Amino acid sequence: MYGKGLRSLSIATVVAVVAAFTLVFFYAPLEAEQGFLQKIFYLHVPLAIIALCGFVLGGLFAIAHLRTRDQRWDLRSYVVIHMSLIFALATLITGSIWAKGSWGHWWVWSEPTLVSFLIVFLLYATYQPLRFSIEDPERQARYASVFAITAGAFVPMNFIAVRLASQYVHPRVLGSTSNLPGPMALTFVVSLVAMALLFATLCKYELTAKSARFKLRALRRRLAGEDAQRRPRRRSAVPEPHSSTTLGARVAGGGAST
Amino acid sequence: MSAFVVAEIPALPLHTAGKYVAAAYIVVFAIVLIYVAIMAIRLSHIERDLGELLAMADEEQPQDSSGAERESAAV
Amino acid sequence: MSAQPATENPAAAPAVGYAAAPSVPLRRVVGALLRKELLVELRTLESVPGMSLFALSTFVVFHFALNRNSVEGDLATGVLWVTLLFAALLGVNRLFVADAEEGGIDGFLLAPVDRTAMLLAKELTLLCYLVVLELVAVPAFALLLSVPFAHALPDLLLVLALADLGVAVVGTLVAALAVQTRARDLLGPLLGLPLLVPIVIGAARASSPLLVASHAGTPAARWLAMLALYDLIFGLIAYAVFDFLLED
Repeated sequence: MYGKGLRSLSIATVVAVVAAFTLVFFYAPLEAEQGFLQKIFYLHVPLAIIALCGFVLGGLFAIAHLRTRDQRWDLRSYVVIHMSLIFALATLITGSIWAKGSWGHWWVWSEPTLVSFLIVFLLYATYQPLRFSIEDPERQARYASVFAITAGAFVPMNFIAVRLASQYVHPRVLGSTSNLPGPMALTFVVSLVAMALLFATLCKYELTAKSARFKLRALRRRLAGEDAQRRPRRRSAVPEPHSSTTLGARVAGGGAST
Repeated sequence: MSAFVVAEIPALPLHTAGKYVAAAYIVVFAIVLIYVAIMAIRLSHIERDLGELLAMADEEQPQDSSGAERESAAV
Repeated sequence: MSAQPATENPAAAPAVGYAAAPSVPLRRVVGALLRKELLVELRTLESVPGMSLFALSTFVVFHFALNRNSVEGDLATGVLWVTLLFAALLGVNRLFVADAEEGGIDGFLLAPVDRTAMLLAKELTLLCYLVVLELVAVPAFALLLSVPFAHALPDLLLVLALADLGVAVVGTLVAALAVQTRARDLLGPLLGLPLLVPIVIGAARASSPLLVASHAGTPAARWLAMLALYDLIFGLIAYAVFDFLLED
């Protein structure tokens, strides 16, 4: 039952996000060097941190899947990686906007976080093509888990590598999270919490929808199975919203997947 | 003393910086809204499928009229 | 691994079922597999000539693309490592194909041996391919693009060795992942390139001071350490997950 805590989680998310945005625009002081543009920091960095944690979490769920062979871990791994990919895309876009605002270029190689994210994004973008090019479902889950583990271990390694490579070229441009003055630190923490809750809510949402779809399919198989065994398909005289042939075709095809 | 690194160009004036900040927040908002839209489409598919399944179940065991679907605001 | 004396014929090992401990030491299994791989390669010449030829052609392409007769420093390392990387990916693509298509994997699974042996054998095979590739490509590189590094050769060999280890480990893992998919030729490089970026970073930065005519520097220890760390981490991960790829 994935939908169980969904309501309280979403309420918590709304509260946190509203609080975060309020703090960002009404409480956090203007930063001396970058001015108003720095406000993007409260969006971009939490997105980045949560996306990275999500990728590593996907690897951890994959380990659980390989250990226990429980398909639910694989489902969780898939959803978390998918959501992290979306968050990573948002990180890249907001980072690019920030770079344009502070450097005048839409992309800067001197910002190691952004560069690392590009590489990680390119890697995880192959996750879904990998999954969908393996037909056998059990093998697909297994291979996806191996990939998730490898890629999850790659993420910190990649960050170290890129950070080493950029260190002596430029000082950090887009700001760091250390030594934040008080009000900024509070705003940042609240934003981080809000982003984490948003991530958790969206993942739970996705898991619930998938679970509903699986149950629907199982129900359909059960009904269609009984139908097929008990009596041959008959055309009812009662007008139906869908014609019998459409219904029959859908039963045979098992429903389209979104 | 600011803990942030000195940018190599002076800070943008508010009306220009405001556009970038707004753009960044709009992008994130749009991504969340697109996700909501996708989930809405899935939900409509689920509702349609459930309706079909209900019809199939009714075919097997025709319900009496009290079992007919009551669509009302009261749940 | 098992300390039991090796039997001459693995098939004559006590038939106590798959739950029995492997009766053949890992070393011998890996040796046997490696011999098989190299024999097959020598007879069919599928991978290594193609990889080497590709590297040579790429150097020519670079000459025209960059419009230069000689390269040095950062430009030289860029050309060298990009070429080696893409040539390696060619080899990676073909690594498991013969086994998957002709039942070699199934045959291996039936033998009462530790499955890690296949991982080690394939990694060593890829490593051998890379060494041969570099024996051809690196002199060709020096020749075609007039790169001066004769005096820095030992350092360059060290960097090459560390990088080769990493490419062998990650390449084998990626090859095993990709071979079971429908789009294996596409997914191999797609998976491999991002994963290999740290190697490119480390190797390029390490060898950059070496390919200079004036006075060659030494590779910074930082990059060598990073390459070694990468090799270690991914070696361990490949060891941990490889079994799951072979099941069926």
